[in-house]
Amino acid sequence: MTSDEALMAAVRDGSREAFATLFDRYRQAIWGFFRRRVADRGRAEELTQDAFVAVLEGAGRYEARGPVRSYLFGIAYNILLADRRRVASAPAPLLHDVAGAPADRDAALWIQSALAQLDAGDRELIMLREYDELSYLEIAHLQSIPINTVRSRLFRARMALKQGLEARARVGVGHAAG
Amino acid sequence: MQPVEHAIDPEDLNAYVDGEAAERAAEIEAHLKTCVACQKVLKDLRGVSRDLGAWRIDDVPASLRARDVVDRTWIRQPWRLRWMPSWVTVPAIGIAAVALLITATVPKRTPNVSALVVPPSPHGEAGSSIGPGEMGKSAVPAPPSPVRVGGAARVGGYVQGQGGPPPAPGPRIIRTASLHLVARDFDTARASVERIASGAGGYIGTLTVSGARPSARTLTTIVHVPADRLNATVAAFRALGEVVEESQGAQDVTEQLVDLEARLANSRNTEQRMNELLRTRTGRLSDVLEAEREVARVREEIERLDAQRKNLDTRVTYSAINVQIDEEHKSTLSLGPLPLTARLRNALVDGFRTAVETAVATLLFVLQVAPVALFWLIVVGLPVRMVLRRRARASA
Repeated sequence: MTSDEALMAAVRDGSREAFATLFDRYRQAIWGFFRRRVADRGRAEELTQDAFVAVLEGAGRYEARGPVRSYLFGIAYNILLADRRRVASAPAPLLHDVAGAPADRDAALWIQSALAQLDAGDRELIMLREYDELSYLEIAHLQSIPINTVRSRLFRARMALKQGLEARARVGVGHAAG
Repeated sequence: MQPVEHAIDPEDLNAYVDGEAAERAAEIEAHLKTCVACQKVLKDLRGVSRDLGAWRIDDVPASLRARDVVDRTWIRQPWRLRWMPSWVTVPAIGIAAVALLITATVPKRTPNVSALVVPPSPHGEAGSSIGPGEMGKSAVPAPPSPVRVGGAARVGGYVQGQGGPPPAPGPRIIRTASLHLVARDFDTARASVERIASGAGGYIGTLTVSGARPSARTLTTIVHVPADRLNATVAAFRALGEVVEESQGAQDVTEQLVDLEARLANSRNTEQRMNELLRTRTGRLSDVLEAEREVARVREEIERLDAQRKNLDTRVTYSAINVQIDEEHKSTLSLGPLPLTARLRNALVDGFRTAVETAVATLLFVLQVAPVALFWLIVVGLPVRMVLRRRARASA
């Protein structure tokens, strides 16, 4: 299997096939990144497309300083921040438009409400780790914070989240997960 | 009981769970065998990760394709022809060249306005047809009636009377115009404004006339007409007088409308889910009340978004024309005969003023003449009187 770095180099040289391969490899991850952070499904799709457009447009300037995965999430994260600034004045919908079976929807709502109780920075951190599976180093680069700060804040966020999840499970707000 | 010495920090356990403590993994695992408290922490941390895994998301939309991304990039960076293979590039350039040639050489067809039937007007213009250039020539133009499409009046690109406007494809544009005129015949112009608006299938939003004769009057109005009648209506207004100032504007609200539609659909889904939750879940009264408050908030949000969407739709469907008509200033001033009471009052005032002026003039005359008269009376009158007395005495 061709490495991400080789694919990215081919994209930089104008290979459409290399881009299609890279797109297939990461579209679920980038889609998931936006889908969990943007309430509107259509908007999440647009932002995902924007991220890959930015990859193409910036391919000529790409330098293999780190993993392509980190590079892609860095682009996605910047696009997300720009979008949040753009819609800062508009009120956000209460909950995400979640799909799936009723049990899945309940679980998603339960987790979202628990995550919503966290500090915004801690919430972003734990989502980058749990859902986007970024390493501590990648998170530190993305958020421009020391790696030790990532360690300590992640632990604090997990413990706070544990309490939030338990509290919501006790009152029976849609907890269908084990 | 011997307290367990914690050589392992909870944050290290957290890093261990994340696979970020490889260098201390053996040490941590050894500690975990003996430390119940750390086992509990480890279990909690793993439990959080497991719970978070329950939030699964839907699959990538089928519409999200690499080809579309490439196309978008090509549109934004057209010099990137390398994304298209030569067997696509050459025919594409050929087709584009032919299309350009056709566009440049074939005359543009304008809508067949002459087919529009004009409704009977008070001036007996029933059944007359209006050509594209005739709207601005007539002093009192008769605007066309709404086009009939299958029995329903089609206004501004939508078919009314069939369950509201469908979502229109293509860009959604709010078009506006502003016109400042000076009219010689103000009354005719004023009457024409209403007729032009209704004839174009539109309506008058506001209309104000200020000033009174003999001063010059001003009419300001906002007329809303179907967007596809904007140009014809502006042309009709132009004929009402001399154009002093004119401007037109357009605002693309396609993205705004799509965004509103999406947010609206999302909020409606949220409301539906919350209502389902309220029906099926039980909990503490305070939680139920809080959930109901949230439902009310979401409902309010839906109504607000819906109102925004309708407002935008209306502004797209109906263009607003700001019209100001100033009456041409007349320098002649015609007062006409005064009423009898005014004339009597004026005569009385004039008579009183004359009497006062006469009295003052007499007084002034007396004051001016009296000193001279006294002087001559003393100088001439007294010697004459003495002479006359002596003569009278001598004769006696």
